Amino acid sequence: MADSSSVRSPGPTLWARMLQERTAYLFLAPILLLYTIFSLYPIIQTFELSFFAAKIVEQGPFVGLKNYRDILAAPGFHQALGNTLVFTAGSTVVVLVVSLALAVLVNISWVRGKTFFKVVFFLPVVTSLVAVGYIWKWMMDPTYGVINVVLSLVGIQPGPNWLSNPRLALWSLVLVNIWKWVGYFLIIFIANLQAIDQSYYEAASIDGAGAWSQFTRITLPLLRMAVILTVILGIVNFLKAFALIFVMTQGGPAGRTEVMATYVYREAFGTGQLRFGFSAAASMVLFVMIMAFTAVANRFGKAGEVAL
Amino acid sequence: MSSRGPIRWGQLGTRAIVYAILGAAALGMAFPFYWMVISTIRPENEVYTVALNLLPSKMSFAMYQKLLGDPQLPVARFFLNSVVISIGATIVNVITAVLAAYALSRHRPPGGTIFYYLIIATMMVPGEVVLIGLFRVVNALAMMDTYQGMILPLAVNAVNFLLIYNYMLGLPRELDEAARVDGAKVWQVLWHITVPLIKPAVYSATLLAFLSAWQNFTIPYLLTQSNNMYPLAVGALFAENTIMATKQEALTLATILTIPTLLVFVLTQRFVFSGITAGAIKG
Repeated sequence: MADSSSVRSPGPTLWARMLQERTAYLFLAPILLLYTIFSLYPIIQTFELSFFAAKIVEQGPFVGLKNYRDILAAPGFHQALGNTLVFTAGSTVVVLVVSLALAVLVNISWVRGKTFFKVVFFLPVVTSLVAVGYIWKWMMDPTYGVINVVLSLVGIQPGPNWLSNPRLALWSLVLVNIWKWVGYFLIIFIANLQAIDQSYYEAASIDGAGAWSQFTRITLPLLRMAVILTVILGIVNFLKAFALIFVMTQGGPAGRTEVMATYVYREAFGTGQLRFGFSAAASMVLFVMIMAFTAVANRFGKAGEVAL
Repeated sequence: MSSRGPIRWGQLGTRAIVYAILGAAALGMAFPFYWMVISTIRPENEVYTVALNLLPSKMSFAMYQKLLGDPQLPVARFFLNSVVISIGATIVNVITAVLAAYALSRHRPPGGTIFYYLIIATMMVPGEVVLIGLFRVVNALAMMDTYQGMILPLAVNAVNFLLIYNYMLGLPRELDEAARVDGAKVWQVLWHITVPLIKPAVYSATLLAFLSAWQNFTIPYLLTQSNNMYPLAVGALFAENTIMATKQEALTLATILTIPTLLVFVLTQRFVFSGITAGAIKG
């Protein structure tokens, strides 16, 4: 990291050094301007607005913590918060288990077509969530959807209303979210598996350890950090879920799939009331949650892996 | 797990099970794409039937022709918008990242640590979290409903900065120091010496930037108002919500939206994978 050099030598003064490095500042200016205007300032602005009765471009009167008291009292907020936690936890756990299991299988030495499997599993990761939403909305259509058609062939008729059954809808979205992200975590796990020294396995084989005990005694302990990293990555990614839900269910039925990001959007733009201040306060809650998990990620020394 | 000598029956069984699991998983991942495409090229009446027809009775590209000629739905314009926005965002993202990574890894100016953390801090502020602030900032800059109003927010992606920065840290500094001593200007060193050395990281960053900008829905959805400015992802939703597109029309738009990124990814998967796993290895 760029540090300490400014205090190291008593030679040139700070000003002289800064003047000497003026080209470096020139090179830094574009990214700092860009990221400040379009990312850092907007969050400061959101924070500020959360204390005002703001509407779109009007600042409105200062209202102190009223917006925060209002979101705490709003049933819709509680529902969105609960749904977000279920969506995030459910997606993270299953994505983790499935991607790790598949990564271990793909990584077996005699398995052919490793690149093929990696590419196929990764296809959903590079597919727009809008397209993902359309594909699955179509496949989950209660009448014409291919899933229920197949279910009817094996005698399950009528099939479930995947997206309009209030008890099922959120889990249907979790399923689609898992499909979208398994490949991403699979690639990370495979890279970590390949970094494991093969001599561990050879030694264990000689000692007569079977595949399962090799997995639990060697692979899992050595992947511990990768697993922790993946859990945090998943959490941070899934907490902010927006497009998938917005496209597939719009938060329905009856708010049963409303998550934090869709709630924020709806309160600001979707109801016609344009409650920017209220919505900003809800944004800040989501931001604090993401920040907390990112801080944990950074404690494990991996700032760079928390996005896509 | 490795096989030496003649294959035994038990081993053969294990192999069959492993391939069956992997095959089933691959089918589960790929089938939705197949089903999407096949639903767009079969005759319309066949789309809405309660029967499992894995193959269309006949191929028909009528829906594509219909969509491309639909005056209410300028699909060609959506596509062009997507291209302009994602390429623009990619260029801005990668160039700013290379410049900053070079300045911070090679020059270490006073205050560099603060700047480093300012850049990294943006990773905690995904677009979904700052909808309101971003809306107001872009509005105040009079960039609402413009290309630059989407390109600039989409160009914020500190992961690519880190990718390039970490790659530069791993390279010896002697080369560019020697060039500096020989009197080369800073930008000459960057362009002629450093950039050629960091090509793999730049390729990866470029691809990741493009793939994520093309996919992004939230930012253009928030920052566009007229359908002439919609990228494909937003246009597809507009088609469904506003002009009541049929399922088949929606799926056709989804296909047009999906194919470019799938194609780019399949052709360049090596760089995409190395970009994602760079630094992700934790023993």
